[in-house]
Amino acid sequence: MWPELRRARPGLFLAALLAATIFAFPIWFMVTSAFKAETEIQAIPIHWWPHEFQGLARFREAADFAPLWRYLFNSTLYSVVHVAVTVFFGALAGFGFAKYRFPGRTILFFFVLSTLMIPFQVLVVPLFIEVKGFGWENSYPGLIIPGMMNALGVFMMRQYIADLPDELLEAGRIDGAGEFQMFLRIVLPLLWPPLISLAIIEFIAAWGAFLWPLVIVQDRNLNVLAVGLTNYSQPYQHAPMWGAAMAASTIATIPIACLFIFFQRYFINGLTAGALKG
Amino acid sequence: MSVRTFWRAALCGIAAATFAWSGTSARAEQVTIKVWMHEHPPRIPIDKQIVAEFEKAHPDVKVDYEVIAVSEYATKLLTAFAAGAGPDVFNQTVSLVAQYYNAHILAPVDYAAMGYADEKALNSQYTGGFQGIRFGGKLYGVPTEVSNYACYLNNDMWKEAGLDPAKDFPTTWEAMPAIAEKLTKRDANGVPIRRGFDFDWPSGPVYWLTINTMMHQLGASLVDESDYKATYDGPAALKATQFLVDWVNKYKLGGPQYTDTRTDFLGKKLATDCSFGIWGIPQMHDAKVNYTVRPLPRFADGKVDEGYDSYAHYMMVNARSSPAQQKAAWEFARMFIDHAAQLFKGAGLFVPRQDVIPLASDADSMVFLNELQKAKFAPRVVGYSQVVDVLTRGRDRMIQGGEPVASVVPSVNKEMDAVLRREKARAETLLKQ
Amino acid sequence: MAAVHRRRVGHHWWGLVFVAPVVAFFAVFNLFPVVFGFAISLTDYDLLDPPNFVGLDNFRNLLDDELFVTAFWNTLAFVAGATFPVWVLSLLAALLFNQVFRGRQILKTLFFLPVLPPVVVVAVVWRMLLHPNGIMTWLAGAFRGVTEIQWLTSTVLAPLAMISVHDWAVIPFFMLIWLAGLAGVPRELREAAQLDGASPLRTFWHIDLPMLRSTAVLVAALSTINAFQTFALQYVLSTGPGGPADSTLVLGLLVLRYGFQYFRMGDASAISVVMFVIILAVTTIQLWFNRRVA
Repeated sequence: MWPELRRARPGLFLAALLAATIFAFPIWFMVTSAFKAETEIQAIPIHWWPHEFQGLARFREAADFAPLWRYLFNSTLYSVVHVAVTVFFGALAGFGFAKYRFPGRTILFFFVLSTLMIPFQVLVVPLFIEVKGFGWENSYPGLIIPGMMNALGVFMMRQYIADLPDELLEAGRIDGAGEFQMFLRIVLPLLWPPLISLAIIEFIAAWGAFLWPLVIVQDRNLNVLAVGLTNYSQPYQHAPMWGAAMAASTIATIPIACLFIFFQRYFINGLTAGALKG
Repeated sequence: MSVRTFWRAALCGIAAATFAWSGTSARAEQVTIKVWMHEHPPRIPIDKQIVAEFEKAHPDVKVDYEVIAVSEYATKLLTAFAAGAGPDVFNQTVSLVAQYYNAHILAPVDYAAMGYADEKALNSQYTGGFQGIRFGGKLYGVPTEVSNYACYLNNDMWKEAGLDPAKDFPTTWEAMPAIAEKLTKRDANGVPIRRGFDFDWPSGPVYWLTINTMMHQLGASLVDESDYKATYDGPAALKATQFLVDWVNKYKLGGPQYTDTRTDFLGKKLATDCSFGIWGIPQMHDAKVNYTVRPLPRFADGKVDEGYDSYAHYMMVNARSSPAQQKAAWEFARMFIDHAAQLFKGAGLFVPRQDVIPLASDADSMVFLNELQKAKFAPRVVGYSQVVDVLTRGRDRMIQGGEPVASVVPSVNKEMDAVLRREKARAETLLKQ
Repeated sequence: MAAVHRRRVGHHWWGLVFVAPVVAFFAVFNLFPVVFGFAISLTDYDLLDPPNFVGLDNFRNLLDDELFVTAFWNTLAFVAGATFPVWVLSLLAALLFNQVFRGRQILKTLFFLPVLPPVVVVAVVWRMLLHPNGIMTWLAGAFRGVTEIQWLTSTVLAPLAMISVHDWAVIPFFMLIWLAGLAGVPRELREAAQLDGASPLRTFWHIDLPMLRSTAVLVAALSTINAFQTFALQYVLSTGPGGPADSTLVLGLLVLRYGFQYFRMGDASAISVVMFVIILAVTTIQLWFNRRVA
């Protein structure tokens, strides 16, 4: 029942311990530093624990130095819109590609798929000029709209929906249900697990979005947390504020950590499914 | 009455009302002007005061005032202009104005709107500072700041090292390393934990000014501004560059890996810094640094007695704004420069104006003024940002990459020249339009 | 009866309706910029004035451009460093954590932590750790009395540091993929081999590896695409715009520099076109590889 408890293999354990330490240490250091005094953070020899617990002082410092709450709000808005759009329209399009035979289906599918391979750096300059042409530079629409859809959703959902038996839909049609109604009432409810996994991956991607906000936003108050973090680590003509940076970094990590803790299985499935189904 | 009569009467009534209403205001309609300034905290309260005064004196004009962080300022200006949503009045540093001029963004000075008879009337109030904003013989803005750097010494650290800041500050670059060494505190491995003097490596613009200055001091120049040609070659270039490279690699007195000098000097972690202008004085007081000001060292065999190159900030008006907005903009500019004395006293912003110069009569300010008289204006080049990057990359190759000065300098010169040639071609195309 | 028949035949057009929003979105915000980007790369555009057609001049300039050449080689070096070591190390990690031993779950979770923070956070934390007189210096050199290591300001160490941090951040993710692949290997095969007396190494070589071929290709492909798409890490970890002597300048960063610092949109687009071609080439090669294997 618990094979691990029975087999203590010191060699493997030590190797894994070494690996885990190397990979976990910086995260540990980030969180503990958020509660240290500024001078203690880079203290040598290293302070594994804060020797003088500072409470929320670094967090308050971060909120004073830059509009931390605005950053959080903007990141949340950006991420929620992104997840909602990607999941809903991704599932809808996945449904369309999986269960309907219409002319141009293959071409359109490969077109949508190809968008996954283009790195954003290739798009950024012309997209900027285009968005500026809409009058959206340095604004919420300009920030949120251009990146709010991701083809991964289409891809993933198509795989899952294709596995659903066609008879379900035929039965629905015989019962007189409309196509869109079938999507909402029959297909979506069957997709909860992969939808949640997709929502989680897309949230992670949106929460960490960096390049586009960097380029399109010039107003501090419109910026997202990912970009706002650099205000603490590379402030203009000011020494880096590592304590505030670690505090803001910890805040930036909390949502994803929560998703991991409470939805671990969906989290892992999301990460691997998107990759493996390819 | 009939329906037709009713509508005719209504129309007449509306027309009459509109006439009556418009007749009461001085201008045909309310004008709003957007004023953008970069972030310099001591100056902001004065800006706001000027805005209030202006709105009171011109009830038909509303001012939409915005302060933008320095790091975002250039980008924000450019994207705004590109979108046709640029400010009507804006401040900017001389190194970036040529680009605006080439793009036909700058409006020539409207003397009448400003309340001057002509250019001479404006000029007579100043003893200089306009050369940066003169294009094709015309003026395209007014100076809000003319600055140059001099050296600030931390008195406490100098005295602690047994040196007298007033007397022992070297007058030559050659004598500098030895003095800096006395002021440098090192750890067991020789790594400086408190520098005595260092150059502000992380800042590209400051490096640009530094190299330009050193070459001017040696009787040469980095670029030929009028011809868009790079002249970063010859003995002067090699000597100046070698000195800077030796500063890091031979004397190990500092280097690009350390915190920028302005932050460290204000944080009392550096004994001497030469990257502040006269505008640094309020900052010294705020940081409670006990300081002395000294002129920049020269080269022992340098041909020219010159301090740091000077630079200026200009207030300019957007040529793409409506005529009414432009007029209001120049009126605002006039009011702004009339507050020059207050801007100097409150924010340390110096302009060579008749009413400001007497205020700069204390010993510290006199150092800056004397240096200013002997300073050349920093060259204006389009493609400034790119040229500065080429320069700093070359510097990094020599300092951090260890490549020899003799081979890197000519290669940097070639690269800078290529950039300038492209910019020249572009400027020519643009100006023809 | 006739009505149902009509609906059964006609309903396929609904598929088009359902995919339309997504297709329209990508057409506007993906396809159009790519094509537009190609067009801009043929112009000299400073954003303030209308674009000026210059043909292939921008591309010709790139060949002589020191900055571009530097960024090109830096990118190739980074991609190499972000793929091969990652492939090997994540496989080793997967093999390790695939074994059963006491403490495996906890240690695996700890190993997985780098995946949680956003990439910017990883970059900021490491920027702090790699301070020349900071924590990593102490860990690496204290016992030898070294007090300063120029992790991010040495032209040699900076690119290595960049690659290392990137690898550190992505190895746990790829380990997951390997683990999923390993889970697909039927246990009976492995157990049968072990019953026959095969050592773990031989088991791996003859049983696991062949079945892992498609996973192997997948990890290679994903890590490559990921290496080209990295941006935040390089942006935050580079001291100054491109690192010391631009040693950490990669093509992605250069696009931004030309576009939003120098305002030379034509040059920036030309570089994006080059990036696009490189990625297309690399992806095509990998897809071809995938076909041969699968």
